[in-house]
Amino acid sequence: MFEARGLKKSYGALAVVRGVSLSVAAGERHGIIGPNGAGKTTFFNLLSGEAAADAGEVCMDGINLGKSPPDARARAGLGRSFQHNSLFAGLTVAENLAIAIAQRKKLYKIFWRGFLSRTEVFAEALDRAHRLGLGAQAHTRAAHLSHGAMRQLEIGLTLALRPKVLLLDEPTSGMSPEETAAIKNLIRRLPEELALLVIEHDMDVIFDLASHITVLDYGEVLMRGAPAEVRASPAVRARYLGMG
Amino acid sequence: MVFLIQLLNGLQLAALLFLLSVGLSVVFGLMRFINLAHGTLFMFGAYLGVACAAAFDSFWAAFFLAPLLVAAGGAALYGILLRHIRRKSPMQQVLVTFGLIFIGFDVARMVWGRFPYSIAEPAVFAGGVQIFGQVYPAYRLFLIALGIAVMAALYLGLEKTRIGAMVRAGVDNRRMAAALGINVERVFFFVFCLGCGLAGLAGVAAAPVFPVFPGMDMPILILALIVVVVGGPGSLKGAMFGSLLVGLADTFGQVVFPEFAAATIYALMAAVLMVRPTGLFPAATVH
Repeated sequence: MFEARGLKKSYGALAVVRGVSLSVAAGERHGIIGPNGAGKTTFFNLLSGEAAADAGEVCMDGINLGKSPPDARARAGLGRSFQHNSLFAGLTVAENLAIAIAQRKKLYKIFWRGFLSRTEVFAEALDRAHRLGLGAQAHTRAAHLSHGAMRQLEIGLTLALRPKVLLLDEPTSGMSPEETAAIKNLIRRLPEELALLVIEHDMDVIFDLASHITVLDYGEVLMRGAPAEVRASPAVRARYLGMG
Repeated sequence: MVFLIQLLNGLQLAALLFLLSVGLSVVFGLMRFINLAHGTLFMFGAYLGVACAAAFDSFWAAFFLAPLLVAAGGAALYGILLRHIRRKSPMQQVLVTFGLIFIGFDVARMVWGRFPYSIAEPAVFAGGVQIFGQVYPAYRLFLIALGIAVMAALYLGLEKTRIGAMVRAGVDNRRMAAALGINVERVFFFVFCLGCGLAGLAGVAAAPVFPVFPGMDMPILILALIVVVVGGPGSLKGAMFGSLLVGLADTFGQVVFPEFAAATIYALMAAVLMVRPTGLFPAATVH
């Protein structure tokens, strides 16, 4: 359903992504692991359109996304979260969600009209805040949330778009064990038909959540398979898990 | 009541500065784009106002047409030139738009000559108003009211409409706005044209009070840039309070310390920046 073919990206003489292909089916939970500098985030940026690939293509439902920018890809059903918190800090939790919901409902087409007064948008925003576990903070400005709550809200924002494919870049980085558990819980409750691609450093999280794992190393696919296979692979153990 | 008259003069300057600086500030907040030729658009607003007033023999025709023409000119300028330097370094933006100031200056001098023009104020506001036993020109009160009305309209537009929410989202976090499918580029173009139109409005509104001549843009451009710095880029509130502070400081500075008049606003800017390095009300950011 979502497919990348032979993606390449170099920064000067440094080839960061060297021909990576990947295909994700609806409902698949696909983990991407690899040592620092393996090109994981750059690969995500190529998928989301944040960076332009030197070669290769990205297809959604068989349609080549070509050189379309991030906002067009988001409208085509590709949601993403960033490694660093990305929220509308000056807006409340509910307002953040309302913007995403209004965007999904294409309410901006009639741009001069209001939307925050539209009860169905706000009702959905409050409902989504509750389901994210942020119900009590629905009227708190995003800037005042804890780090963990920010990440939850960020994933919630992307989900409010009802994407077909969700890219999560290190959703549990810098989190306390409780916050990590909350994120894991959130990921488990993702809509079933959603295809998930997640970069993660926490091996417990990824082996627990993923149905498929791709190991990147030096911008290339080192291995791909089920979590158990990857965990057992001597090459991966030597190169990455540090258990040679 | 010299004080009261000066207060009104200060408010009138603040109203013009607000019209000019709000576009500059929000465009910078949204895209980190600096258009130094914003003052040139102000000047062309005044000149096009003069031309329209002469053609239609009506102040109001000029008042409504000139901003639209300037906004259209801004759109063309953006499509032809500025679009290409949007992602370039600030230095390139500053150099290119600084060059536009000189081009604008020469175009104005070639078309309209070096002698100052003026627009007659509309008949409704031609007289004076009695305030505390002093006669104050009604048109200047109209300028203050215009500033307040535009501010209120922008406030409602930003807070209550969908495009306003998109602008706020884009200023707040451009990357996330794009990740949510908002076409930030288009929102930016809309804001840029609106800002150009407001600069044109400031120009035509100033034409009955200030002489219209090539180079009229420079003094007010500098004041507008100081407003952006003092108020904090990207926010309506910043543009409003920045305009009030700079407008009043400039006016009272010339009355209270005439020998230091030129330095008053710079002293104000330095004082504000010492306490709040990012300005009084910068647009919120995550980091």
